[in-house]
Order: sequence, then structure tokens, then C-alpha cells
Amino acid sequence: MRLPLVLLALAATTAITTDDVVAQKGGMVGQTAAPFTADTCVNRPEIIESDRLRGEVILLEFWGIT
Amino acid sequence: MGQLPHLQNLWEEYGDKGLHLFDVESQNHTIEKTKLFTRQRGVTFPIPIQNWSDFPMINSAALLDWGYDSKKLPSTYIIGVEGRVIWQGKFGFEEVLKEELRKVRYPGLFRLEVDRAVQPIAKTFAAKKYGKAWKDVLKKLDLLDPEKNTAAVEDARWIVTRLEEISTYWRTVADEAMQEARYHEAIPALDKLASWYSGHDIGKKAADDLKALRKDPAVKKELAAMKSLESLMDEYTLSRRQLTAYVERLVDFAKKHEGLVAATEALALADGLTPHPVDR
Repeated sequence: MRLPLVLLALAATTAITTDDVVAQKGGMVGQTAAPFTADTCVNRPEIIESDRLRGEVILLEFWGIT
Repeated sequence: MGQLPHLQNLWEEYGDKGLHLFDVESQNHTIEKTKLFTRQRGVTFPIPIQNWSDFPMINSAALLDWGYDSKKLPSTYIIGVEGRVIWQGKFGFEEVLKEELRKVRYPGLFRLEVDRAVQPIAKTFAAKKYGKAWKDVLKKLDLLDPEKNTAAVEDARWIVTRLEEISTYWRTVADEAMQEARYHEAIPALDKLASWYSGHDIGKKAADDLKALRKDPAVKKELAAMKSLESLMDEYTLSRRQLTAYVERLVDFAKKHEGLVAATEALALADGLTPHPVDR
């Protein structure tokens, strides 16, 4: 009975560690943001070019309808 | 999705104060579906469609993943005035955002500091009194000695550049919209030019164009049709059961308003709502 519990605990620990590593790899704070563009956009007819917005603040959120 | 009202509040408060908000739809929905969905929620900030965008800062595996796993969304980044990522996460960025926005003293100028000699003009610019800013900056350039006041002259010239860029941009938006009879887009653009560039020829021309448009019966007809379409857009629901009936109503609308821009728009919406492999 003890072995499965040990394996479960080990698996949980491994999962947390893996997540942490992924989070660290994805951590972009402090990095210069590569310029982005968007040419199809609701509520904005023209092409968006982020490098034209230097000196101001950009809030970029990725989300989904569903 | 739960963040939309919050983001809308931020947009209304800071959209004119140096905030550029882009809420990227990342689940492979069409622009038409996104347009209807966000319109119903009173969203006025820009919503880029990920499939038509290029975000080299985000790795492509993450973008692909988000398309299938909504639990990983939202994913939020704040890019500060120096062009660096200053915050990354899901929620709770407000304090960081507001602190960074405080650094933007002259929204729209894209310059954090200007020489003391042109600061009053930069403030006029920041208040969107572009007509006055233009007159003032030209006067200032006449008074400044380019040899002795190098920094002030450079900043004054930059203000002129921005005034030209902004006017050219909105004039192009207005002209293209008028050419395509998209008067519902042309009128707000002309309104901006008339108000911002009041006292300048640019503002006067925009005001004259507005006057002419508002008298034109063809324009009135287009605007009335567009208003009807907007009412129909407000009736959109995400329910799949009702989708077919809604698409039929859009097609009927297009038949009724044949030849008008609103009809073309209705057909585009109908097409964008019809399920296809990417959207299923």
C-alpha cells in the first residue's frame, strides 16, 4: 500500500518542478519586447505596429471567446 | 472573458493617457464572431486576431497551445516606456501599469522628456489641442536659435512631425472611408480632426467635409442602414442552436439593403459566422 503513495507524492513533486521550470523559461520580465504587428483587428482599422508606440505603455493580453 | 469590463474601464481611463491596449483573440475565432461578441459587451479597445498577427515575443508553441486550452488564458504582458516587458502573468497588473503610465507626461508625443523651452507646447499637444500646438510651435521655432538651442529646436521639430503624422493618419482614415462610402467610419475620423485641429486649416477642412456629409441624402441612407445593422448585431448570441437563424437574418438584411455598405458588411458577418474547419 505504501509504494503507490510514494509514487504519487514523487509524481506530484515532479509536476510542480516541471511547471516551475516552464514558468522560469517563459519569464520575460526585463527583456526587450520584440516588435509585433497585427493587421486584422476589431475596433482598429489600420495595421498595428508596436515599434511605433515606443515611449508609451502597452498592455498586451491574449484571451479567447470561449 | 471575465476581464473585458475591467479592461474597458482601463481603456476609458487611460486610453488617452499613454496606454495602448491590445486584447488578442487567441482561440482561432473569426474576426466577425469576435466583433459581434465584443460589441455586445461594450468593448471599444482594439482586439487583434492572433491568426492575422505576428508576435515574435511569444513562442509559437504557446500560441498554438492557447488555441486549444482556454485555462491557460488570459496571458498578459505589460511593455513599459523603454520597450521592455515589465510585467507578465494573468491578473493583478494594475499597480505596475499605473506606475508606468505616470511616466508618460505627453501622451501621443512618444517622447518622455522635452526641452524646457517647449514644455508648454508639449502640454498643449498632450491636451490634444493640436491646432494651437501647431501655431505655438511654429512661433517658437522662429524665436529659437538653432545654434544655441539645439535640443529645444530638435524637440520643437519633433512636435511638428507628430502633428503632421497624426493629421495625415486621420485624414487618410477619413478619405479612404469616404471613398468606400463607409461614412460611419469617416464621420468619427473627421470629428477628431475638426476638434483637435481647431484653428488650423486641417480642422477647418474636416469641419467643412462633415457639414457636407451631414447634408447628403446618400450618406443619410448609408448611416440609417448601418444603424439597423448595428441593432441586428446587438441581437447576436453565442448559442449554436440559434446561429443558423441569425445568419439567415443577416442574409435577409443584405437583400433588403442591397447596394449599400451595410449589406456588404452583413454578408461578411454571415460568412464569418458560418462554421468552417478552423472554427468548429
